[in-house]
Amino acid sequence: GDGNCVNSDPSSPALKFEVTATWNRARVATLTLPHVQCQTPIFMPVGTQGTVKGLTSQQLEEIDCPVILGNTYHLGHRPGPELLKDMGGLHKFMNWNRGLLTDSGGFQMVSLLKFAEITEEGVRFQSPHDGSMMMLTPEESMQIQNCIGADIMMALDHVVSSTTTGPIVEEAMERTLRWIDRCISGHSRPKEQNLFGIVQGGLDVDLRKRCLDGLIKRNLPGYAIGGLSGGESKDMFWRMVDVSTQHLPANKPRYLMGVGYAVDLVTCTALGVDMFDCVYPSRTARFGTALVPTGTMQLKNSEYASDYRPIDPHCHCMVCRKYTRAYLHAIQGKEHLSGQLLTYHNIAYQMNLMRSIRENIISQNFPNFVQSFMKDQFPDATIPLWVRESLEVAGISC
Amino acid sequence: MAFEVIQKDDASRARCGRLTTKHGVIETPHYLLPSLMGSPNNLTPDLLRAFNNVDGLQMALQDVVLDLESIQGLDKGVHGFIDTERPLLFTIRDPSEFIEYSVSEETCTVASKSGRYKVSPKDLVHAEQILRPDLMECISVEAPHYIVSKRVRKSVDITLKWLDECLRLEKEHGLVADGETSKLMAVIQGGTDLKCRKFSAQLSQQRNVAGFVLGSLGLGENSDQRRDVIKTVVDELPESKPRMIGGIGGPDEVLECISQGIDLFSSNYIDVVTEWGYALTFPITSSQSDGPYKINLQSKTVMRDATPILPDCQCYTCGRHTKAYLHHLFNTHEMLVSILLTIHNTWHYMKFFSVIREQMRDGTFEKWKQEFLQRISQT
Repeated sequence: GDGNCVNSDPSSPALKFEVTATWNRARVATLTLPHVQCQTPIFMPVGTQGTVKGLTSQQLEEIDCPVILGNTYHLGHRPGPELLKDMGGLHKFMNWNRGLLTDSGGFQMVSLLKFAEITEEGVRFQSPHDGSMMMLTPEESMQIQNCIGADIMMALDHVVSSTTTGPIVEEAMERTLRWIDRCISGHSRPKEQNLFGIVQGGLDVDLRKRCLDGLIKRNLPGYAIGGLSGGESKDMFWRMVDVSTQHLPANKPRYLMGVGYAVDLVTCTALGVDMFDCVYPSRTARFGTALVPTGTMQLKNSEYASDYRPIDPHCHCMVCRKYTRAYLHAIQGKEHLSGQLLTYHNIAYQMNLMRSIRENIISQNFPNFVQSFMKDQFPDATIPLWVRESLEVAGISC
Repeated sequence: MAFEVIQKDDASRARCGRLTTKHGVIETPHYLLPSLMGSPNNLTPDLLRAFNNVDGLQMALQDVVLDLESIQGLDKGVHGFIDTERPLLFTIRDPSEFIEYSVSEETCTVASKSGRYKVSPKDLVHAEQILRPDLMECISVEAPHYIVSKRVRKSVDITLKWLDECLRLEKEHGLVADGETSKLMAVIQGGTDLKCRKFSAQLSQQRNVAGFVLGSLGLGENSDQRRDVIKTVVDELPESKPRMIGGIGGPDEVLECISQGIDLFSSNYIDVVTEWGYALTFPITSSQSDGPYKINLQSKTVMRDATPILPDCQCYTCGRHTKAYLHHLFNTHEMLVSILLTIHNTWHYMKFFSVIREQMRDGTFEKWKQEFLQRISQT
């Protein structure tokens, strides 16, 4: 950003969040960031190394995408924080003039590297390039993210897998709270970049609440719900989301990290989540899968060879306006064309879904929308128990 | 389908012309971008829309040979199936690969999506009936420069036999009425044996075909061999029909072929340049005299270069992105760099062809060509 505050609230100078409509716990809000103003709930595609795979920034604008994610671990390595700083930040470097969000770098380290361990100091890891031992501290994560210059940056937290049990879960939660203070101190651009705290605590309601309370005391511009969408059961998944959204302040955005699938987006919006991110739509596109209202469509299947309808007759994206399922079936397997076209459609699908969610919250038609959506996704009354239970809690019966 | 020579160059056999098809006009000399189902590599339809000098596209029979039933079911030809209004020219093979198969008298072998596929004259005409292309290369037997003479003569004979059989089948199936010209392009074979090439050309031009493809070139022959073959063949061909060569893409080689009377080109030159991380920057007009031929985006020298590939290039990539960003994308193996670089390289290369046509219409082609060759020899 250029240093002009978007918000007069001194605790959140670079982010304004105004709820404009609600239906029970679901809400529509106007989110103002240094580079973009948009309506939540939003889905944010993942642009790992400064690009959403196979899409140009103009295509992302056409699809109406307000915010994309960058991965600090990857960008911190290539092209590196110094170069990004010299180039004027990631926005300028990739010529993307809307919102950017960066994660802390910690999660990738733990999941990608052979040796990574978390100590009080930070994440100690073995550099995959020369084998030397390195350390990512909360301060360093802030420094790198300040160089990248994203509108939203994530605190370095102690992530544990959602299937982990035992004292480490509490230890990680406590550490996350100690690290948030180090993150706040280490963050040098609070007027231009928003530091979000991340709620940890595994699958333990008490731990989650304690973490929440600790983060809320720091009065951050926004909060993320972390440590989910791993291997936990869907039952625990929604209950932890529920605990978090119930207790996070209503006047700040809530970001559920790593989610996801269409059904998850709808149920979690009903529970009060505002922001989502996931690699799924772009990744599955590269395998020939299109996202549709009934779920997925595997275009490699021979049943589509003579199917001359678009992927989704209600989708107005470039791909659905121009191409048939037969065409998309015919281009499978050779070169990138299929991946490009399906990535375009799948991200458009996610954007359209979020738009429908917002419109239906505003018009108070949300429960009908959700019921109809679930009927399409789960024909023959096969709606999973966790979906029915979570929607029940949100005030919608399916 | 009609071809008209608009202007002939005084100093050479170069000419500019108009190839009118049911789906539009191709201004020659023209470079037909190779495409998969109507999309050039990395250029989705929205990206292709930015180009106003892509008059037609090449498609390969090998890419659709397993989808004929699917295309037939829609009953709108290949144009309807891929939703394009552009003229489409079908070659038999994908220009980016040359695979030698053993010679058969009955069928031509192609590499389809799932392995080898045999195409007989009957199969070709059947495909033509379903696809309804604007132009289609006939099946032929390739004979690159290293093939010995007995094989070379055989390739010519089989190629002519297949051509006649295809033309006969077209008439039989009502694809071509009496006196009407087929959409097939005869392929002139004969390796580097000039007698064979002359024979192939003489007999081919007696048939009522849409045009001629000079086959088996761009396969490692030296420039003298190529020049002699093209001269020998063009000596026999009528001026009133277009001539095509596949597999030739380097600007200097293209210019040489144009001077010898070639009208259409298709190759994977742009793809290869892009794959290696090069941005084409060769100076096309005299006002761009001091640019390099190409820029290596992998080089560390551009790591912090916050300027576009070419300051006056109107392509999407030069309008929006810097060499530093492209270098980063290349360095991190990101798909986007192939797309962005393809956009620029295609833009630059198609501009090169636009300027060729302009120069020819202005009667200044040979002079411009000499200056161009001089400029790039200094880069």
